[in-house]
Amino acid sequence: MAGWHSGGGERPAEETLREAFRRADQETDAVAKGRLALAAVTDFLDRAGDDAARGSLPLLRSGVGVAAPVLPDEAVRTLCRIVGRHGPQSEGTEAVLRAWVRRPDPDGFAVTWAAAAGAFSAGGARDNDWYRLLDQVLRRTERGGVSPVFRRLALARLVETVDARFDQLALSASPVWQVLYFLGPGTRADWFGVLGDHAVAKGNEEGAVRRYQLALDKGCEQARPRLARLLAIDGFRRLAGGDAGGAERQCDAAIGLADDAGYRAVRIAATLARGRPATQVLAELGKRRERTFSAPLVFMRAWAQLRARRPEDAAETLRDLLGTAPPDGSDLLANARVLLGLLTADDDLVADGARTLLDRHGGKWAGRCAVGAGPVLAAVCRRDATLFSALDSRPEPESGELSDGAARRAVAEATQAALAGQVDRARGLLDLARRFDRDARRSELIDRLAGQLDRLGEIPDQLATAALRRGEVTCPWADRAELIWTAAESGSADPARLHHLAVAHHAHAYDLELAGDPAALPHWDKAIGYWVRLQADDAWWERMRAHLTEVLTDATPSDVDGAITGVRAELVQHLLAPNQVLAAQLREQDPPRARRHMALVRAAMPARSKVHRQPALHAIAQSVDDRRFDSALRHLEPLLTIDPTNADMVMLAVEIGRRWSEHTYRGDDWAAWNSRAGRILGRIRRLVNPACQSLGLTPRSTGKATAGEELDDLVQELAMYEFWWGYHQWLRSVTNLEARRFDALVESLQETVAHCRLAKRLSENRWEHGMYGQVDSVVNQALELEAQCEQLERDPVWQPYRFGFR
Amino acid sequence: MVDNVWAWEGGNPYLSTALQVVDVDPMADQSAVRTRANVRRRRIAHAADRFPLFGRTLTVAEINEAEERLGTPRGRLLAELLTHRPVTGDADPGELADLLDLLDTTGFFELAAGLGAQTAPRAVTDLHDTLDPRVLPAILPDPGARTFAPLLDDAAEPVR
Repeated sequence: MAGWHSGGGERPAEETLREAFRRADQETDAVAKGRLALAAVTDFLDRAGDDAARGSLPLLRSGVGVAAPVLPDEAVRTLCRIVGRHGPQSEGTEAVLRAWVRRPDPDGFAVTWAAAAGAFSAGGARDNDWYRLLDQVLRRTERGGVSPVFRRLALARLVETVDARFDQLALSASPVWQVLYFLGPGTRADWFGVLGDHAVAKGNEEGAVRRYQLALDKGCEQARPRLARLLAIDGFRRLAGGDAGGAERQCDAAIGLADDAGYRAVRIAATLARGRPATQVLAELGKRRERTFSAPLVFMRAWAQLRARRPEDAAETLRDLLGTAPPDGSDLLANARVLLGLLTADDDLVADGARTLLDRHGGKWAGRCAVGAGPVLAAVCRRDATLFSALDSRPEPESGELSDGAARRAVAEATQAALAGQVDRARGLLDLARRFDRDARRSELIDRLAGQLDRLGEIPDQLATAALRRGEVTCPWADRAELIWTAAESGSADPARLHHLAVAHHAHAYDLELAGDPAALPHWDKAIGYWVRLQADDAWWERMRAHLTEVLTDATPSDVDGAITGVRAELVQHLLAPNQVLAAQLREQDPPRARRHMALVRAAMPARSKVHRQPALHAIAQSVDDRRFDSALRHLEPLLTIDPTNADMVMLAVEIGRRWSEHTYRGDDWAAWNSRAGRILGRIRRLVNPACQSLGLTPRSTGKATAGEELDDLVQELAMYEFWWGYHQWLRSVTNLEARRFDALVESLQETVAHCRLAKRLSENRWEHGMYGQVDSVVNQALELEAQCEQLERDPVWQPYRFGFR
Repeated sequence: MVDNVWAWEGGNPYLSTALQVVDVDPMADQSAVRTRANVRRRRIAHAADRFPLFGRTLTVAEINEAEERLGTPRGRLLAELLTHRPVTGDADPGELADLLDLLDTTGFFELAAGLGAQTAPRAVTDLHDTLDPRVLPAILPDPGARTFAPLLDDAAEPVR
């Protein structure tokens, strides 16, 4: 341990110190040696007077210096004690501190830092001497020598310090900044940004606003969206607190910094809340093209249209909203349902929306409803007495039209429940009816019905059969019989009721169809639904087997079995024969009805290909093989128009598109090709859209496609068609850009991205080579161009875009 | 070729089932069918227009064909599928008529047919006066939902 024994004249205390150092020197373990040395120094400081200690300072510093590499925190703290007693030590101090920044003890860091800051800050601005010394130490530490632990812990302390005294330090020349620049970013702008984040994390949003503002002023662009967010949050709070004017101002500031559909939604809401003219709001909403779907903005468009006395437009907007936004049980969609229901006299829709608001907010639902409770209750009382009662929870409900409607509804629902055998529910509904009822005649009716609840549940089949009677004749169908059996069937598992319903609706459908009445379709639909259920019902067929065995005394069991098995197997196919014939007959004169019949057939058939694969498709496929694409498409179009979701035909259509594209595409004459592609691929697009939507194979379907494994071939073929459609849109974009048609450009770029991404998803990323392997390149270029659209529109000479791929 | 009783041939198969033509109910056994077919044949032979089936005059040939169908398990089964099963119960016609009247009075048929209450709803066109803007904050997206990556990485270097 060189240096321990050097020094001036011997004094008793110093001799003791030297002796302690000698003992330490004999220790072979470095840490133990350091610990003994520091203990000796501490012991000496405790016992020696100031004069004696002052005389021994070199020896004391050397003891600390020996311990510093292995016990840096303890060494620094001991050094601080010496400094505290005898003032700053020029020799050895930096070496001890360097040892500390290289290897600090995380557990003792806070104590060591506080000791050092206290010891090395003598007068003047708080801690400035300490920061200067630390900066000097850090800059003289070898490259990479500062421990990441020190960096992290020191930064945490320094950020806290600057955060606490931000106003004082922000624009000062304090040496703390030099330390921060060494340990982290080298500019004040970046540090203001970091301190803004720090303030946000601590909930100090007001402080964060000032810091982000300073950061932005000094060039930290990352502060821009952060500041915008805080201003928008403040705007939102002001709006919720009733200060719509303040909300508008804050949101304007936020949008000026960073445009965001969410911020604009708050801004528009504030404008609406201020009661400004709806036309102004609509103009505001129409100013910008929405790049992404924003449900709140669409909702507020409808709101403004209502305010502008344009209820039809508002209804259309709300229909779009409900058709596009995924159902999420939110207040927004609940209110959209309520409004649209009221605008279109759809009480079910109003009740649906009101039920959601009630579920979410209980008795405070009216405070979350966009319109007053009156019209909502008026609609609900016509549709759902129980819901009405829950919504109108006053102890004494108002007498009048609403209560009258609710009472009427409750009586009808009670009758329905009784026919289904749900007597308890029926009684509850009658209690509800009594609560709302103020009509003496209805009171009598309620009493009469209460006395028949059990009976209605016992004899619904007799009642329905009685309803089939027309004079002396029993008809196979009657509206009232169908309704009674429907109510009764909901409460039972009796296959005989399924059969009654199947017969009644089917007979009804034949009569209406023969009369040319399109009202036949729902009866076809219901009848086939009941027949399909009956066909699957073993108990029914067993019952028929037993019955036939009993009445056909000449028939053998084997004859009966054969008949049952045969009829059951062919039942659905035979039942659908009329609908297939009708689809063909109606193809020319009434295509929508023809489509409905085919849809019904398709939905009921157990295996789609059994009846649909038509010889005509083979001829079309042959045309495709012969590259007679126009002819193939011309023959396929009428078939697909009638049966738009027939998978075989859809597959053939997209195959035509794909093979035509592969056969005709020429990069050196892309404009001419794209013009033809617009016609051919566009025709196919229109033909296959219904199938794509019903199978969930669209750009907007976010989840997994609903197509099953049996449609794998179709999905793969569709993927290639989607690529060509997306590529056609990309070439349209080129044309649009060259013609400076920016609205059309944005639209074609969005189509490019949507369909190329869909293609990639459907192909399950299997494409690597050839034309299809370039799908990512098309997407990326389209996105890049879209990002530049606004700038290009504003300034034609700004970075003129060059296409790198055609 | 298997015959299909539901085939589209310009008529309603539920109005000319073999059981209706012979005029027996589905519980009739073979003997009852034969007996009834004989009676039916005589009547049609003598005064067909007095015994129409849903307005249509029958022929003896139809009676013969229907009887033949009802004699085979397949023909009988198909005829029964086209016919409501007999319903039994203790309610007399008077009670049934009263209860059907009760169902009418309660508004059950309108409800079940989806026609709503007795008064059809009307679209509310003056909603603009009742719109309550205090609801708007609840339907807005949370403007604070947007998050940002930290400005510094783990090594306290600025993230660009």
